[in-house]
Amino acid sequence: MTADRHAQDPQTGIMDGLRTLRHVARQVKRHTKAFGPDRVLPEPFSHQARSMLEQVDGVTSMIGRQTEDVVRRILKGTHGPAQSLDTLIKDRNAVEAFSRTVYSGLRTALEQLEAKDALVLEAAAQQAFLATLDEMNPDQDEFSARLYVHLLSKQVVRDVADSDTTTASAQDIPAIAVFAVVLWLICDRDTTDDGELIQACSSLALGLRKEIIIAGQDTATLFRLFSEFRHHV
Amino acid sequence: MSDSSTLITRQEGLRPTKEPLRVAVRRLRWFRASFRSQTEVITENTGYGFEILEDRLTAAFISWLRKVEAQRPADTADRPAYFDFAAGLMLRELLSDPPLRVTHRPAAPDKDAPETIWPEGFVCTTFCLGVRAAVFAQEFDASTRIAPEFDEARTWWSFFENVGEDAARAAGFFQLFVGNEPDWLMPDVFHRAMFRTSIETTTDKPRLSDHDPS
Repeated sequence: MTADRHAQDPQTGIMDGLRTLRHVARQVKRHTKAFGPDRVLPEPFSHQARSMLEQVDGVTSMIGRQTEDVVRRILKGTHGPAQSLDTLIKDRNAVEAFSRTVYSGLRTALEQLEAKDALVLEAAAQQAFLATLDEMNPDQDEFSARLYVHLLSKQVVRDVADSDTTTASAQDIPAIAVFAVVLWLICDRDTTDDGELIQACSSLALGLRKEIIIAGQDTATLFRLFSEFRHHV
Repeated sequence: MSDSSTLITRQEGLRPTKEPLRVAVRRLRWFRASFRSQTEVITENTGYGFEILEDRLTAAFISWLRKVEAQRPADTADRPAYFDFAAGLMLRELLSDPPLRVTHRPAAPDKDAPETIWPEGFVCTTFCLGVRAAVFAQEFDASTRIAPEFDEARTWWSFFENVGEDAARAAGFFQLFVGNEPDWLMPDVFHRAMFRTSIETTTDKPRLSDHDPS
């Protein structure tokens, strides 16, 4: 472990902050839409409440748009094709490369799980990566399982909204999405479209959700699951 | 009525791959893409439209993969019989909770055609027969035959009713369709003796799987 690996990445902090702001703005917007002033207030109070909510909606939409623009500008040119865990570890900026990859993988996985409004924090992914590297070498058998446990315990996926449309319970979504991304990082790769690969990993994770949830933090069981399916995505 | 044999032997629905098919079929993305594509071929040829239920398709894949991996024989001489068995087991897993539902029916269907008797069963069966034919062609440079029972309406009614009672019987019907003697008691357990694989080897060239244990 080198000192560089532990160095704080300011860009990640800025992007996580902006994403959190965008997430909060979206939450506020969703809640204001769900709140129907006409149902709970008589006129003229309901009219005033509607007017106030429209202003809140306008402000949150603007915050959401502007933060998306800033994140997009910061990220411009930093996204290459997703790489395997073996390749990421050899990267000169392994920690940042890892967290960028995990972020993009989680976003796709969460979208497939119908939970795209969840918050994903790169800083948490970096902490999980460093914690795993502190415990073991990447070539050790249970590295993938330990990485999964750390990603979950650092809460890389947060604030999953309860919804009728999610494919699993909000409580289980982080474990399913993180399992999908770790599987994606270690699975056999060829020329297949990367989007198709993470989608297949998400489907497998969803199909294995009972086993994943029951496994909890049991790295031996998790390692068996990763080993069983890494060549079958 | 569609020409079932042509649908199966053309293998139009199977996704091209640089890997051996016996390896590709054990990857979810190939399995899923090929199933989707095969379903489209059936739609074009029969007029039946389908919605694919991805969760069920993935569940069938996971269950099938675990069962075939657990029963894989060590002796490469068992490969032809095992491939027959694996394809039958695939059908059993697909039909235990069919991963598709009919969204459109042709205006004037042939009432005795397999696809009319059981559209979902027809798609799953032709997919498994297509995979089997493609693997045998690649591994053994051999063509495969389909038994006459495949085109018999009464067999399809029996197939539909039996699988409704016990999905494991799908594996037995699959062996009937490829010309093997089905083991109706334990159709989803591999034992070499039950298979007299109906393939016709066209050359003496070495078998692909003789050199690769994967």
